[in-house]
Amino acid sequence: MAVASRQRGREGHRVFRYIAKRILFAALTILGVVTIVFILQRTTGDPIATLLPPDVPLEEQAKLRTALGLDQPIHVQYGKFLAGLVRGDLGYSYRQGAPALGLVLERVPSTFKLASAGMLVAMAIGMPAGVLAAVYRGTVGDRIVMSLALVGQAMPVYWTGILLILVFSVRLRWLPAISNGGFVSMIMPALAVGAYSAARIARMTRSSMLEVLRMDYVRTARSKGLRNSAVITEHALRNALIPIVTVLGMEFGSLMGGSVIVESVFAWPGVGRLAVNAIMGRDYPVVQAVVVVVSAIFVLINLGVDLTYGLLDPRISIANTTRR
Amino acid sequence: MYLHKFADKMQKSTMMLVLACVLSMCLCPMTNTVLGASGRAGASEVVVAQGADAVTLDPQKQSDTDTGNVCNSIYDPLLLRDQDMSIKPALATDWKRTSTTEWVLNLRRDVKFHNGEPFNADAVKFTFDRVKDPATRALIAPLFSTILKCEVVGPYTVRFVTDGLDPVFLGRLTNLLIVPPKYIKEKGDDYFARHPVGTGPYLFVQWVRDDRVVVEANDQYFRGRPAVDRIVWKAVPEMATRIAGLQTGEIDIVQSIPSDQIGALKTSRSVKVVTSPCAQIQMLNFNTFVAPADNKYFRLAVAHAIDPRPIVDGLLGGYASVLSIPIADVIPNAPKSVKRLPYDPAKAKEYLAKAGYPSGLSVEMNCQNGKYPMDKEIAQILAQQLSQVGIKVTLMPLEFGQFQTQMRARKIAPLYTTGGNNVLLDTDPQFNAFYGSGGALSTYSNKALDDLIDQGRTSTETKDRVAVYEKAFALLRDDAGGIGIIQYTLISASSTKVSWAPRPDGRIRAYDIGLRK
Repeated sequence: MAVASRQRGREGHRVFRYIAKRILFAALTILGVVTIVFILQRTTGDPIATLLPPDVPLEEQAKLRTALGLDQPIHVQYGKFLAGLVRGDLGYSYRQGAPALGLVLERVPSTFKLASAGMLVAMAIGMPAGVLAAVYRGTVGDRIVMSLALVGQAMPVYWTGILLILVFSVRLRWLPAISNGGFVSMIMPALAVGAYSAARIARMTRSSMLEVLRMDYVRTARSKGLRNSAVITEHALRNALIPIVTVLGMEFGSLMGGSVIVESVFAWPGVGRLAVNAIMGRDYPVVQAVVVVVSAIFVLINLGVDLTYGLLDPRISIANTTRR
Repeated sequence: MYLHKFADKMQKSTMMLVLACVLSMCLCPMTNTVLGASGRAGASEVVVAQGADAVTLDPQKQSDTDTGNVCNSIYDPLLLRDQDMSIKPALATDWKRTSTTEWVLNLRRDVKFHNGEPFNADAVKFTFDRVKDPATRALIAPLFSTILKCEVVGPYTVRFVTDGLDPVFLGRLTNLLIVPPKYIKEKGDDYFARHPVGTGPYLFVQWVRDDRVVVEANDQYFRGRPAVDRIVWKAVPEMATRIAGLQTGEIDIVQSIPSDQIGALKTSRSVKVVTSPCAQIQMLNFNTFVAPADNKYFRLAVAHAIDPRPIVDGLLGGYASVLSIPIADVIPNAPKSVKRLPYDPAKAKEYLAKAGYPSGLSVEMNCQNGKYPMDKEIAQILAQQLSQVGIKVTLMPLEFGQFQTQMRARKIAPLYTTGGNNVLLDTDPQFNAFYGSGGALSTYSNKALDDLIDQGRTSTETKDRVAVYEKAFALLRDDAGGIGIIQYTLISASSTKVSWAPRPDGRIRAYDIGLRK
């Protein structure tokens, strides 16, 4: 018992070391990304040009530039930014006059809702479609599913969104064209987001399932007399899940970065719209805050996905990973 | 081992829990339902869709039209522009210039802020001082650069002191929205920016960032209770969605509709399309600090080679007008009598020969891309017209910020088209900015023109100033320093239940919105 307990303790210690290491690397990644963004956005032009009417006298423009600290050398600005970053202070929005980090964080729940709903739609459509296409490989059904998946990936999200509005709002009057925060107004944005991801998930599920269905243990399960549905769901699908979960994680991470187009088309108040407005208005602090938050979310989701591998497949363990 | 043992026990229940959490997040409404006076049965509501949400509700820290519209429903200025752009009393009852540099204004005595705080001279002084204080970082501060100070003369009388004679003084005051001193001192700037209190026709109710600002009628408003119980300022970035919202009845007012997108609305019975000339223009300017635009004959050749009529009739479907001079005719003191140089390709070739290019030349041209309606397409048509007389144009569209930076550094191409607007609705700021030797955006220099600009600042009388600007624009035309192309027509649409008309300054005044009986 004591040996087992010590072993469990060592396993737990390894897991935490692994997570700590990943978080450290994540912090370095975020710092790298935000540094690149910090430098690049300062090469795109002058924020004063978008903040003030163009005919404002030069001396008034200079006053505002000084007030915003934009007259200082870039290395001084960067130093101040890093000092603020350590304290969790990412500066004040030039346009909104509010703390940049707060502006981003208050939009995260809204983006999370849309991303979650979109992922539910994508999984509900994509996974069964992919499984069916794999099981009935080479049939008409397979070709139809894969053709639809191709169309789903080829259709621009903007076009899908406008099409949904024209059909379900303008023509049929079933759904509101514009978000009002309620469940009903989320249906079309979730469909628009989900349709694209569903196509990708269906394709990935099909190829992963096809690989697994050829395995010996599937043949063994079948020869034991198990029902086909049991073989597919309990043996094949579970083993095919790892690449699918990777895609799901990537898709969810991207959506949490803000589905810019869907948020704009359906007037959804999320991180993506904030980012676009900040970029267009050269609101440097907000752009930097968006990058920090979105990178952190993306990295955390990836970490979550990596940890899920162990849940899905007992052969994959953190202990093995760290030893390697 | 550690993980999958845990997984065996927890996997299904955890997955179910996560799924339940996600579903409940999705199902719960994003915000609380707004309840207020208009929650009453039969209360009227008008939804105004704009391209962007308000960036702040502190009226001194904003400079964009969308935010300005929202703020103008909550706050009042001392003076306001009427539908015809003339200046009318608002919180000030009357005004008088007492010397070259001093203006005295008397204020209304019957006005209170929405929180009950009295409106008086102290509030005006506090507002002005707050704008001028660098710590406020007021984006509207540059509009008041010529006003040095505000003094309290009596409880309801203030004096403004300007830096020399300022003919645009009254126009500047239409942008000074008065804020409550006591409330801001007690609550602080950040709280005030989210929970605004003004004297305006509507009271603030709710702000959901990037989504909507809700305001409700102020029963005590000094100009009389507004006609609509509740206004919702809805942020809808996509024009196609705004138009769909009008068609479905979710939106009541949309402004700045592109001319190529109104077809669907014209056939709708529940929507009416309304238009107004506006201050937005497109002009063709020269960087006279580089060749060949430093050559007057080359500039005259260009002036005679371009014809804006195909742009107006074809590209913009008639929703624009040909400009005689590079300023909109809705500006009250813009001269109306100066005519443009005629479209004459033969004369253009003559001037080109005089300039030393008898067999034509190649030249670069910059334009904006998406800042103003069809700006790039307008430049393409001009480039095509110039090629007809032998000026082969390489068109290079620039993003707005880059465009401004290049223009300010005078590194822009010899030829460039640019949009222009006029915040103060006065000729001087725009004319000086684009054509004065020291103008912020000027790539042209002419001593005689600078003298006329200075002369236009020596009087506050509109008639005198128009006479000076007639000479100035004639000089600009004859020297081909800048060429007016088109003046945009503002296209708006509203539901038939609403009574409202667009304004030349492009603002949407909530108080002007009514309901059809």
